[in-house]
Amino acid sequence: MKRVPVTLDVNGESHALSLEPRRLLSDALREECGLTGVHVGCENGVCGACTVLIDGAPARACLIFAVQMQGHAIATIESVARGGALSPLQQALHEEHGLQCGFCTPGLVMTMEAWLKDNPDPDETAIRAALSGHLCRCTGYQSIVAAVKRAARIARERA
Amino acid sequence: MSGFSSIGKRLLRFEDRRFLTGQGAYLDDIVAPRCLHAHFLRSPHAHARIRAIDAREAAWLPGVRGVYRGADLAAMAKPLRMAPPIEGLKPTEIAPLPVDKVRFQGDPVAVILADDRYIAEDAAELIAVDYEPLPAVTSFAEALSPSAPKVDETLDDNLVAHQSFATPGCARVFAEARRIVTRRFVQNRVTHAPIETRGCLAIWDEGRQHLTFHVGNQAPHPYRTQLAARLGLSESQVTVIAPDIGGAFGQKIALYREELACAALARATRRPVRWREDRMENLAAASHAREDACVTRAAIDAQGRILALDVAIEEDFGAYCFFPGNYLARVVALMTPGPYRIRDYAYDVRVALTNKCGAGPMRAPMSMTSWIMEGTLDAIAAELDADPADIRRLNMIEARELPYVTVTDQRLEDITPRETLEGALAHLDYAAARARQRADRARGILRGLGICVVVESTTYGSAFYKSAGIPGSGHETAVVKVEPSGAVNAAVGLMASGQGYETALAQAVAEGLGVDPATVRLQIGNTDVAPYGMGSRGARGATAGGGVLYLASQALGEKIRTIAARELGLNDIGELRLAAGRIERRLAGAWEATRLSLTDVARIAYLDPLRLPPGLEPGLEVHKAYEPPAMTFSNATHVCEVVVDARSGRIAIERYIVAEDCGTPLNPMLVEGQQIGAVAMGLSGCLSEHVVYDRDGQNLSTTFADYHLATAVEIPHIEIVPMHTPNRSTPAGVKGMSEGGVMGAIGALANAVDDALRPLGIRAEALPLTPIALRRLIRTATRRSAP
Amino acid sequence: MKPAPFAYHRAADATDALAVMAGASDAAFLSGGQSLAPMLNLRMARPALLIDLNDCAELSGVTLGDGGLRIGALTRHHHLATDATVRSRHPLLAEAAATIGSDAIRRRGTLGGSLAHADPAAQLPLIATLCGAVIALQSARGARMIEADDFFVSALETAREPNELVVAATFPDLAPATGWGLAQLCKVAGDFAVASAAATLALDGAGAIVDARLAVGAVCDRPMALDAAGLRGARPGPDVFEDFAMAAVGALDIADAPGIDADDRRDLAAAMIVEAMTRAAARAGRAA
Repeated sequence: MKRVPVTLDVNGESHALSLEPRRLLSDALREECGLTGVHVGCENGVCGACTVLIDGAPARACLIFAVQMQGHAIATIESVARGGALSPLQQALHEEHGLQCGFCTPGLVMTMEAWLKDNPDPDETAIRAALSGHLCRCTGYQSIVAAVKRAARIARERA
Repeated sequence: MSGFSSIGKRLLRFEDRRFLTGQGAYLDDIVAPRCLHAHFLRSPHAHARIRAIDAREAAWLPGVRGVYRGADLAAMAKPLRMAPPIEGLKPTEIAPLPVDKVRFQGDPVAVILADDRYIAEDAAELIAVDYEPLPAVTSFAEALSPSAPKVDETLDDNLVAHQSFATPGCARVFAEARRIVTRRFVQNRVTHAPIETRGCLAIWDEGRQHLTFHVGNQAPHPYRTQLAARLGLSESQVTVIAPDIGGAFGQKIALYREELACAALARATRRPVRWREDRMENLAAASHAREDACVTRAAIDAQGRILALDVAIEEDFGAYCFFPGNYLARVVALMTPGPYRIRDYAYDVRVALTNKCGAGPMRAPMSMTSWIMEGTLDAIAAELDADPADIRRLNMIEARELPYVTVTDQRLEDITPRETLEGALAHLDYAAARARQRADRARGILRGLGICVVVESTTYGSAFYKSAGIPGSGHETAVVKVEPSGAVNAAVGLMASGQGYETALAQAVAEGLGVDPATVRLQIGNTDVAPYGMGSRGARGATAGGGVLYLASQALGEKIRTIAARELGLNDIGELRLAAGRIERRLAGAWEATRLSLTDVARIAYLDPLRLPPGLEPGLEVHKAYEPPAMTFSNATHVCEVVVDARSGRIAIERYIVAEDCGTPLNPMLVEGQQIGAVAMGLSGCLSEHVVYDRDGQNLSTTFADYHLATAVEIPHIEIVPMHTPNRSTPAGVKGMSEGGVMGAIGALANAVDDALRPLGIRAEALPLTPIALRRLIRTATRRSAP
Repeated sequence: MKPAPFAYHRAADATDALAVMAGASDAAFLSGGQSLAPMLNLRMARPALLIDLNDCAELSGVTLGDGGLRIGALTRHHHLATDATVRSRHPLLAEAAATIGSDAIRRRGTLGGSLAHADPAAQLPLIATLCGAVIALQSARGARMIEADDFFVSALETAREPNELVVAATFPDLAPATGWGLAQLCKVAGDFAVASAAATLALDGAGAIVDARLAVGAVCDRPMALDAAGLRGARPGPDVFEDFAMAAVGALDIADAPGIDADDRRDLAAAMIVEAMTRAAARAGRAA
C-alpha cells in the first residue's frame, strides 16, 4: 500500500514522515519518532499504556492512525519533566511508590496530568474512576491513588 | 531488626526516574539495524493434524524474507525434553514448533520473517494450512475418560502426573471419625497478563559465532543454559541480556518456542530477528495457570479439632509441559496443612493434559493452598456452628511448639501465625464486625467476614528440591566489587521485573559494606556480567539474592578493614568500620573518623598492592555463593469484609486487612508495595479474571475486553499491619515474600463471600465470583426456599 | 494486531465525505475510531478506504431545538458528559456518556460513531432508544430522519445504508420534574455492561406514576424499549418495580450467550430495571 506524507508535531518538534495510512500512531511515535516511552500493551484501547495527549486531551495512540494527526499537537511522556525536573505528579508517584515495573506508568501519567487540570481537588472515588482506564498489574493501584492525591495537594498549594 | 543502617530504611527507588520520564529501556525499545520481525501463524483449532502448509503465496509478498514450518525448525534446534526422575510423572517432549499436530488454539504452526510486523501479518493471511480437525479435550474429567483422544500421543493416556501420600494411621482415623466435613474448591484458569507482553531480539554474530539474545526473562542464566543446549551452542557462545521488564509474574521464566525459533532463525538468516508478542497471543498462547479443583475431607472431634485431613487435587495443565506437570499441584499438597496441628494426612494429586494453552507457575503457584485449608476450617466452623476464628485458634500451633515439623516434613520456624491472626482481628475489631453482620442479616443484607491465615513458603533451598524430588538448586551467587574510585558494583543472578532490586538489594550491599546505598550500582540481567544464579522466582529475591549480596559485602568489608587496619597501624579490625564510605575507628566506645576513606583503601588495593597486608590479593572483589535453608516462611492473616448485593450479585469489599510477618524488610516501602500488589492480583483473579474455553476448545478471552483485569475501581483500599519478626537462620533475618498476598486474597475473599451467603444456605465453590455466578447461586437458593 | 492495508481520505466537510463515499465501493467512515480501530487492528473490519470525519466541524456541537437537544454526530462523549447544556437539559444523557469506557475513550469517541456501531450493550443507543431520539442520516442523494427504535436493527446492525452518514441525533427534552435513572452491571469499570437499564419516571402530586419509560440494554441483540403503560397510577416501590421488571424481561426475546445463559441475562436485566427505576423514583421525588 502506498505511503503518504504526514508531519507529526510531537512535544514541540516536527517530524516529516512518509507512512502507510494504516500505521498506528503508537508505532509511528515509537519507531519513526523514537519516543519509546509510549508503551504498547493491548492495541485494543483497554490497557492505557500508550496514552498520549492530542491537543491536550488524553487519547489511546493504538486507536489512532498517524496519518490522522497532521495539524494536531501530540505530547508524550518524554515532554512531561520540564528542564529535567519531575512534574508534581511524577514526583508524587516516586514518593508514594506508585510504580513498580513502570510499563503502565507513562500512559497513566499522561491521563492524570490532563485530568488533574480539570479536577484540582478530587476525592478517592473520583481518582479511582479516572484511573480505571489504566491497567496496572503490579501496584494494586493504592499507591497511585495516593500519588494523585498528593500531586493535587501540591498543585493546589502552589496555586 | 535494629542495628541496621541501610536495611529497613524506607528509601525511594533509584530506578523510578527513568520509568517516570519514559526512559526505561524495555525489550521493544532496543533498536537493531537490519532487523527482521517474526510473526507466528497460529492454529485456529484446539486439536488438529497438520496435513500440509502452503506458504508459496506468502513468501512472494514484498517485504517477506522467509516462512518457516515446524519441519524447518526441527533441523535448526532440539526439542525440550521434560523428563525429571520423579515418580508418578510421565516424560514429555516439545518440538521447536509443532510438526504434524497442533494441540491448542493458538499453537504456532509457522513463523514469518518480514521487514515489519504489518507485512508479516499480511503474509500470515496468505498461508494455507490443511488441517484435519480432531476431537478436543477441554476439561480434566474429559481428559481422563477412557475414550478421550490423546493430547500427547507419546503417552498412554492424558494423566501426565499422579502422586499420592498417606500417613499410616490416616485411613483408620477417617474410618473411626464421628464427624467428617467435606468441601470442594474450584479455581478458575487465569493468566499472568503482564502489561508488557513477551518478546525477544536475537542477534547472531557470524564472525564471532556468538548469539546475543535480548529477552525479558526472570532467570537469565538457567535460560542461557537451555537456549545454548537447544541450539547446539556452548554456553560461551550465548549471552542473554534481560532489559527492563514490564511485569513477569512467572510468565517469563521458560524458554518458549517462539523465542527459540527467533534465535535459530537469526543464526540461519544472519540477520537480527525480533518478536513482539501481541496481546491476543499473550492471552491465548503464552502461559496459563491455576485451573485446579480440590476436595478436602476433615475428620474432626466434637470441638472442631482436626484429627485427619485428606486432600484430592485435580489440575488441568493444558497441552504442553514447559514445567514438570506435578510441579505446582504437588507443592500445594505439601503445604496445605499450614500452621495447623495435623498429624494424619493424605493427598492425591492428579494432573491431566488437555487441548488448552500450557500451564505454568504464576505469582503464588500454590495459590490454592491457603483457600482450601482455611475454607475447610470455615466448613468445620459451620458444621459446629462455631466461630471461624475460634476453630483456627483451636487447631493452630503455638509459639512454644516451634520449630514444628509438619506432617509433610516442612520445618516451620520463626513464624507467628497466632500473632498475625489476633493482630488482623484486632485491627478489624472483629467483635464489632460480627455485630454489624448480625444486625445486617436481620435486615436481609448479606454481610460476610472472611479470614485467611497464610503460611507462605519462600526461597526454596536446594534441600527442598532434593527432598521433593524436583531437579533444581536454590543457591544464589553474587559478586561485589569496590572499584578503584570507590564506586560499588554488585552483581547477582536474579532479574527484576518491578520489585525494586536496584534499591532494595543496594541496601543489602550498603549494609554489608558500610556505604551509602546510592553509591551501589546493581548489575543484573546480563549473563556475561552477573554470576550464574538461579533467577527470580518463588519469592527468593530478598533471602537468596539479598542474602548472598549481604554476605559478599560483609566479606569485602572485612578485607577493606584489614587493609585499613594495616594503614592505621592497628591489629584488630573489630575496632574499625565503614560508615557512609569513611573508615571509622572506635575509641572509648565512640566511633570517630580516621584519615581513610573507602576510596583511599580502594586505590591501595588496586594501584599500590605492595602496601597490602601479606596474603591479601590485589583488588577489592568478592565472589560468593549462598545456600539458603530448605525453606523459609513468611506468614500473614488476611481479613476481608464484604457485602453481597442479593439482587445484582455485586460484591462490595468494605474492609481488607493484612497483618503480615515477612521477616526483616530490606525496604519496608517496597515490601508494602509487594503486599498490596499481590493482594490485588489475588482479588482480581477471584473477582473477574477467567480464561474461558468453549466446548470445542476455542479461547473466548483473548483481548483485554474479554479477559477482565480488575481496575482501580474494583480493588479496595488495603490496610497493612506490619508485624515483622526476623528469621534467625538467614542473613539479616530476611524471610522472603510477595506471593502470600495472592494466596490470602483468594481465601479471604472467597471465605467472606461464603460467610455472606450463609443465611441462604449456599456457598460459592467455584471462582471467579462474578455477579453472574453469584446471582445464579442466589437465584437457585431463593427458588428452593420459595413456598 | 495490525490493520490490513487501507487508503485514507481526510474529509474537509460532510459534503466532501459523502461525495467520496458515493464514489467508493468499500469505504467506511472514521469518526472517533474507538470501536472501529480495535476492529481494524483485529482485522475483523477491513475496508479499502477510510473516510476521516474528524475535520467536519459542522458535525459537532449541541444546539437547543424544538422539543429537544440536537447533537451533532461528531460530538465527543466527553463533551456530552461535561457540557452545561446537556447536563441541565438531559442529565441522563450526560450521565450515560460519563460512564463510557475511560477518559481517553470519551475524549475521542463520538455520538454518531456509537449510534452507528450499534453495540447492544452501549450506553448511547440505550438512551436514544429510551428517549425516542430521532437520528438524522444523510447521503449524497438526500437526508432522512429515523427514530432510534427503527434505527437499531440487530447487534452491530442499523438501518443506515452504507453510503449514509449519521449527522446528528435529537434527544427530546425530559418533561419537567421527571426523574431518571441508569443502571449497569459491568464486570469491571469501563467495560461494556452485562446488563443495563435506563428509566424515566414522572409522578403526580400524590406521588403516583403518571409517566414511565424503560429500556434495557446488553441482553438482546439491540436496546429494547419496554412497554411501561401499566405502571401508570402505581406508587413507586420495590415490589412494584420488581413485578414490573420480571414481567418485562419475561416478554423479551433473550438468548444464551457465551458465559451467560438466557436465565442469567433475564435475571440481571430485571435487577438493572429495578435499580434504574429506584434511582428515577428518588430523583422524581425530589423534582416534584
